[in-house]
Amino acid sequence: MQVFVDGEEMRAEAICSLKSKTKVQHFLECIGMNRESVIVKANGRILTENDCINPGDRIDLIRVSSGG
Amino acid sequence: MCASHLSAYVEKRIGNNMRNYKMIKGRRRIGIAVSGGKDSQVMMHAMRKLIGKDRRRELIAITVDEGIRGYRDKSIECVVKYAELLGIEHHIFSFNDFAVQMDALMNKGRTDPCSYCGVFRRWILNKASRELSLDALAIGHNLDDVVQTLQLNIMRNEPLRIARFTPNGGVFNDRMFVPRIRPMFNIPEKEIIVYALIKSIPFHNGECPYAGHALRNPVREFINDMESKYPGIKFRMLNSYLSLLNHLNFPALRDNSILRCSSCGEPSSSKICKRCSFLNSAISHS
Repeated sequence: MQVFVDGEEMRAEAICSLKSKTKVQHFLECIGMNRESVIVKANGRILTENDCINPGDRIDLIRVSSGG
Repeated sequence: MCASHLSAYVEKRIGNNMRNYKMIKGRRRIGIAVSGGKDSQVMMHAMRKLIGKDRRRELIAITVDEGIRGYRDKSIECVVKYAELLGIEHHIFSFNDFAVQMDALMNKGRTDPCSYCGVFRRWILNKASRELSLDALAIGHNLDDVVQTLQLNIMRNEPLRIARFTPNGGVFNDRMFVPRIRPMFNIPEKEIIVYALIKSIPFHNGECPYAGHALRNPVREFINDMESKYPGIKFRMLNSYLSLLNHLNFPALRDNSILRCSSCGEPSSSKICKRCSFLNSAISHS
């Protein structure tokens, strides 16, 4: 699974350990991100917390809070 | 909620807010403060859609260039292109003309950039709005901004600021003040960014290089953490705040006692306004 945060690839052990279909909410907990602070896209589609992601998906995380 | 329902829901709430809080009633020239970030770009898009066809009203976009290389220049590019695409008149005002550029200020070793930047930006926005004869200026504050600001003002013991931060500004009725309106004050930040993605609205998602200094960051983290554990906290904070607003009754608000800054002539709560006092201290440290 490839995970990008605002376009930059994220490398974390937790990502490698996800071998099966996982709920977005659980995925965010695994990588230590607050669900309030990111939008999750899988293969270009915006997901809700109850959607699932698959091991082969390209995951894009878009930080909600930016600016100053 | 699906994409089309979320889009309609966001637009409906912006429209309802403008109507319920009489944000544009009797106002002809409506300014939109646009930085190029998601909030202001979405606000410009939605206001264009909701009131752009109203021939009685004009929309004018304003951008403040704080002089932060690699950050503000990129976001300004977004605004320029999108305002042109939407056919909205757009003006850029630079810190260079009215204050000290943020990069220059930080090179002098300042450690509180957000205080300086906020004061200079608000001062410029008000002056620019008056020069452009705007009847109101729309600011892209969302639900998250509002509850963070409320929390910050409590932590800083700034009750007067709490009273002034209203959905439809103009607490002080002074001809030198252009009232600020906040059409997105009850829309979560997350819904705004999803709306921008659904509608393919271009925005700059970069982070200000100086924002790491802000007290707002831990406050944001705390509130987001609370919201994750106890969903609905942000809306409950907002509703508490709106209820509280009706009961805030400060002498300064009752008397409408606004002074003029003896240095720049702009409205101020003291003899010298914050912008001039910051400017003097910045110059004296150079």
